[in-house]
Amino acid sequence: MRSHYSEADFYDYDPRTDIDPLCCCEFFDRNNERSHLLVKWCCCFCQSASAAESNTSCKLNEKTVRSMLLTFQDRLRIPWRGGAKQITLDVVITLVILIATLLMAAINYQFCLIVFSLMLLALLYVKHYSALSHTKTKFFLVWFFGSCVYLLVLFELTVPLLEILFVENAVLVLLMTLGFYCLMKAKLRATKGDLAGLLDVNGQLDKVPKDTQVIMFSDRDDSDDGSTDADVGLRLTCQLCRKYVPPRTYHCKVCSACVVRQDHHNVWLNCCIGKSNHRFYLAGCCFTLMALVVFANLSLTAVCRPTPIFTLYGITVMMPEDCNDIFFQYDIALCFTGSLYALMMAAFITIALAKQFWFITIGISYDEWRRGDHVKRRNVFWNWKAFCLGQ
Amino acid sequence: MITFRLSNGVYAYVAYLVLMVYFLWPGRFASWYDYIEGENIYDQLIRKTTKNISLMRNGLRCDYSEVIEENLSIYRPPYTEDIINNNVRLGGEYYPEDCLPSFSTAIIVPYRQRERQLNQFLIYMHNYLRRQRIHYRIFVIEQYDPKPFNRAKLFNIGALIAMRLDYPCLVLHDVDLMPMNLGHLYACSRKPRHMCSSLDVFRYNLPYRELFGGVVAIESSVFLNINGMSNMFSGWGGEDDDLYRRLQNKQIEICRFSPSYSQYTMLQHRKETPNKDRVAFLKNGKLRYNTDGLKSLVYKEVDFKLHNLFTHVLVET
Repeated sequence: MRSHYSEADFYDYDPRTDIDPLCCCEFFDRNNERSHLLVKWCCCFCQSASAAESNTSCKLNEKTVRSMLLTFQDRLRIPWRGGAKQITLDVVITLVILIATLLMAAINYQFCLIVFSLMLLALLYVKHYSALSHTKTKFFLVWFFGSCVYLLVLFELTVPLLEILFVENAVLVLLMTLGFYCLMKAKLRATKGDLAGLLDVNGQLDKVPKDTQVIMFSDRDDSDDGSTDADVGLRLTCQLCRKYVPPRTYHCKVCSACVVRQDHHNVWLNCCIGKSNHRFYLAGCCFTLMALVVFANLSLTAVCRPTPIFTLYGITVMMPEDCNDIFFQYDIALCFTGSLYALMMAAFITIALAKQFWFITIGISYDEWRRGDHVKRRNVFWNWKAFCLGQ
Repeated sequence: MITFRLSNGVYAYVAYLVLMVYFLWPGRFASWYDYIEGENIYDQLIRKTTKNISLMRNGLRCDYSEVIEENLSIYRPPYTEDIINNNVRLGGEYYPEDCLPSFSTAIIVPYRQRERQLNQFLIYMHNYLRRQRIHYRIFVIEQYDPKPFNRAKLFNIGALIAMRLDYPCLVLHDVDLMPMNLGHLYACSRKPRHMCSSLDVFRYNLPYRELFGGVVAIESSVFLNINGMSNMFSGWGGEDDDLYRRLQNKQIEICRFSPSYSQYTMLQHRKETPNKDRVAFLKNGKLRYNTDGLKSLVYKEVDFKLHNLFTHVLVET
């Protein structure tokens, strides 16, 4: 689902360069006029009322209704620094569906099974559909981070914390912080991976400044296949971007950009995973996986009857033993279903990590494997060393 | 330009710090607590018996160091299934015949409509306590009326009966709690002792340091000194905290054994409805410490039976 205002996506308003910056409640509306969240609300009603009065049939015409709806959607904003930020409807709907689903799953055992099964099928279908249509959507990003925030709030407000040690909670908070930081870093570095500044196909060699030439030279040296390009004149070209690209660079149809050593387009982060952010992505997945497992373990042992497994540095690690009568109390059932949901997320992340580890081990990226491209490969040790050093 | 960037970062850091302070506030989690290590347990126990036990002259005194040192975990079959070599006397009393015990304990169990739990409790506790080689007697105080369950009042009634029979030590025991390790001797220590500080439904942690419920070992003289427990806490909750505050009011501290000795398991049952008035009773409890308790205990003893495994007292509150 794409927003109505595609122009707004490319609007790069910077409050630092504006002489008269917007306050937190002001924004530019769809007519590019300066507006405030609180002012003009009455004018909107006055305008509608006057339009209704002037109409002989005493009905609001279709154009006015559409104008009102568009104005309302334009005003659906939260105060933000440098101007009110718009809340798109797909973000709101995703959050509402997520929270309603998880609250509904805690009603009883049958609801739990039905809701989680339907959720799984729906997510798989939407993922498949978005992969086919190459649409860039925020649905998965909002769903994933909304799920993490929901589980964190659930843990800190509902799980019986008087049964959990301070150290156990500190470990969970630390893992969640690290996971969030790494994934956020991966998303921010995704924009750097685009090759917007490369030489155009139509450009002449004589007109290129020396700085660009030096960058091209160093790019070729960084590549592990640089030695095979004995011919100086041979260059890879992206026909969609109409630019010269370094080796092992692939075009992403969703991002509409070429990405150096693209592994895959990740729908959950809504960005491409490539050379610039692959390691952060992998670290983020590991930390998030550990955080989800720790969350599920602490929650389940708090609401079910635990049995101790072993003791590590004075902290007893337990497993849930008896989870009968879990739906007798709604808040206990919320913790239980939240733990099941965390384990489901952990299972998905485990599958993704297993794929990543396999492809790093054999030295190719996921996209290369899917296309059947031939890539020069070496032994396992060298592949992991190249990955860790970012070569 | 620098000011904007700095303030933007400062806002994020301040928000992050506020969240961290909330997430990591120590008062929201289980408490660490001071406890008595295993090697010091025997020194903390008060060696006192009833008159009839003291008058026996068998010569040899029972040795408890091996029981405390080994601290066997015996919450498993066959100890939980059937009475082994039943030599329990009528009324649920037992003392070893081959040596002279050093401790006499009355175990007081408030009870109403928990037949399955009581059956499991009696089988396991007799197997458990006989291996400790102490003199003990189990009193089950059953509330025989449809009023809300008054746990504290039943403890008061049981304590009076036990003190009448000259027991120096009282163990106030819930019927659904079972000790898992043998080294936790059912005897009184110098301070009142919270015995089930490592309970499995609390993940073997102590929710808060002032928790004093479940299983408590207290001397008869101390129980008399604090005027017993309050009789006003009908329904679930609050009377344990009131007992703790009565001890604090008399400057009497409590103690706990090491978690490896204090592991208890709770039998399954539906949860009770909490008493809504318990918070108000706790707040104004200080005014009634000297008036509400053993001195104001009013009850009617319906029956007094000596069963094979326990002394059964039916009362109307």
